[in-house]
Amino acid sequence: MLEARLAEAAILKRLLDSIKELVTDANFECNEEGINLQAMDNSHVALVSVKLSASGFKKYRCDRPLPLGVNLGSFTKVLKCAKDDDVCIIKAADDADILSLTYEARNSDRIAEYEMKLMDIDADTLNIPDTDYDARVSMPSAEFTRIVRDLSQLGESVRIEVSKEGVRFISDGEAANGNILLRQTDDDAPPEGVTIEMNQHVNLTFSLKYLVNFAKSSTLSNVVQLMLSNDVPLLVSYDFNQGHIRYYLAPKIGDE
Amino acid sequence: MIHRWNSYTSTEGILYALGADIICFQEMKSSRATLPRDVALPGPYHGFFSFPVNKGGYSGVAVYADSRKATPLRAEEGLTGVLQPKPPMSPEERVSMSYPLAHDFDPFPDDNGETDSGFDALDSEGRTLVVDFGLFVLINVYCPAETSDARLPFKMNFHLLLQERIRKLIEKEHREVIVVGDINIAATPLDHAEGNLPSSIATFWDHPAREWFRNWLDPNGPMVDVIRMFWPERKGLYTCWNMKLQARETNYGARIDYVLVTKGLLPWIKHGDIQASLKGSDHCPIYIDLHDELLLENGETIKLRDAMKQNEVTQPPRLCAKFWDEFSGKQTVLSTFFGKREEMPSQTPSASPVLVTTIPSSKSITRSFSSSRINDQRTSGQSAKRKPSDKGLSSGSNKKNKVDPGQAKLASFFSKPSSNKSTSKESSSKNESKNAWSNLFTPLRPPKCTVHGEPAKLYTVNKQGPNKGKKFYICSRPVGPGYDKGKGERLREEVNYEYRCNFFKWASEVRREALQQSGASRD
Repeated sequence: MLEARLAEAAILKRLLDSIKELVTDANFECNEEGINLQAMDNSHVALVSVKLSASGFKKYRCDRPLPLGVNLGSFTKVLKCAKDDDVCIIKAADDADILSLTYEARNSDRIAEYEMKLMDIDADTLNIPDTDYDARVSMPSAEFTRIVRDLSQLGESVRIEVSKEGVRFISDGEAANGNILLRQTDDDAPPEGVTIEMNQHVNLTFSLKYLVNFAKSSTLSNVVQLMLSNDVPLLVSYDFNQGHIRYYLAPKIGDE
Repeated sequence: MIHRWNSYTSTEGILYALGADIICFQEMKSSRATLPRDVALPGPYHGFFSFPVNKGGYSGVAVYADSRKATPLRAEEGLTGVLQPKPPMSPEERVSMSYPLAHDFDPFPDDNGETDSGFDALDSEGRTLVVDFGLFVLINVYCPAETSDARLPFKMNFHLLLQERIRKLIEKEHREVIVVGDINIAATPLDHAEGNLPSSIATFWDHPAREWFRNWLDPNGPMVDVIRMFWPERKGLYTCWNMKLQARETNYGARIDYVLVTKGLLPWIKHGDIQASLKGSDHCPIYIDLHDELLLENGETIKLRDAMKQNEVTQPPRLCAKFWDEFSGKQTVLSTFFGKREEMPSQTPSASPVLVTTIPSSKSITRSFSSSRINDQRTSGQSAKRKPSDKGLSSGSNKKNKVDPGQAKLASFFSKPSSNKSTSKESSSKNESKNAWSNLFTPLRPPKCTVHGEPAKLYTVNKQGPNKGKKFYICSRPVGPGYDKGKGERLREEVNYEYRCNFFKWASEVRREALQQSGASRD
């Protein structure tokens, strides 16, 4: 069985908000190390990978690996019933067909219990190879959100160029174009500043609508890491106390 | 005839099993963003789609053409030419030189007598695909249903727009046209289960849509209803049934789906029929079959392939889903970078059987045809997928049955404390309350309907409103022509008592009566 006690429901609420637009159903794979989720969007262009490590919970127990197939829309609804600072307890039996959630209010005796139906999901799991990325960029997550939101007004895709100069985001729209250059900040380290590590010049194009989606995770962490290599999917990673959320996005080709 | 077409696990398999070279779907109930790859690019079929401009999940039409048999020369969305891909189509890419203009026809007035119902709006709901196959222009259409009186002007204007578009194709461009799809009108009384009831026949043509349709159809208009042409007298040639009434069992339906052709195409048409036995939707498929070659009057033979200018086509038009950015190869997919994991070796075997029991890729079909109107498909897909939760569902509803049998009044337990009762022993009163409780929880015996004296059937109100969730009983017989809809909606002389009668009773009322009875028997 699974029993996990999370100090604040907010973390789950935010996590769901950052994946529910991308995938509709997904398996939460629970094992003794924690809870993992890997899911691809319909068009097989983006993948989201979530890890909540056991140590991030106030209490965590999972006797044997347990896949919890969840409709993310329903899960979001159930989580909406929790206040951000509620203690959230997740429980499922071994051959569970329901997931039970309990919210304990912080400053009162209110205890709310919810049950949600689980489903069998036969999702393709992908093996993500370890990659040495040619470029790693860390920046404030709010900055990233703004960049992709601004550029998504102009065009459908963004070209990300990492060079000695810095990292440049370029969008060519039908009616307008724009580009944003971020230089490495010398005195400020993240979360306020930008750091760029680069072995090789990188130039890749991605669909903006996915990046706009990814940027929703800025509620989870105030730093985002972009990792790029030519001809390899982009990795957008947000680390937070309990774990991480990572997005992989396949590049577009021949769009120049 | 048993078709196992809905047991196919891929869209390609389904299309193949349907056995046609060009397949048109209406009510895709999907959107471009949620269209799975498998549905957009099913093997050798070229897919063309039109979805509502604003985020939908309703309407939507699709045309699939088997690339081995027929590839269209041109294809476009909508009737007005307003819907354009990016960049807009060049004149060569367009099916027509000219499109209907707002002032070309007299729009149908709305309630206030105003006629400006928004010309562009007519094309914004993903209802039409116009595909040029050389020999003919195929128009796949999902005409609006008259869901409320307020929609009537929209419905009528859509028909008028369709008619005008086709008039231009015929008169200005000298094209032959095939219209395929859900017209949402019963053409004649013969096409409606209730059409031949005296009260219905008298007013059948009063509806403006029916009148319009009659005038558009041969002999009054240019379009020939070919399937009726092959079956002129056949009764019960219905294509759509009300699923809520289980009307398909008794073939209590209507024919609202048509294949309409211009007269020049008639020599090509070999046969046409409906496939009423093909389940999976509230409509059934309809089809026509064309001759592979035709002997012309001058003694020459012309092949269908050549008439459809198949030698001139090298690749499908730009509207084809395979050219969409997300599928065109411009956007790479993750599986080319990351290998598929065979099975998770790190997992203990106890977890993997759960994954294996699900039907391979049932997920993708579920999506595909929950989108179109193939409902059986959807439910079968879901039951495979939802196995464990179905259990949860039923147990949940059982529980609900127990605790929610209609609120009983306290009075039914405590009533009638006849004066001598006060002397009765405590234990017996305990027993009594136990009985009362167990009575409360025993399943209700369904009441018998008044006309047939047969056990009635339990339903639950799903409609929004104060009664939502309440249970009620109605006659368990199937519906059919003349079934009793109630005095207000059915003339007494036209009631056919073979079918469902007018019996109705709230379950709460049934329970109350049952309790009163048991109370009475106790006394």
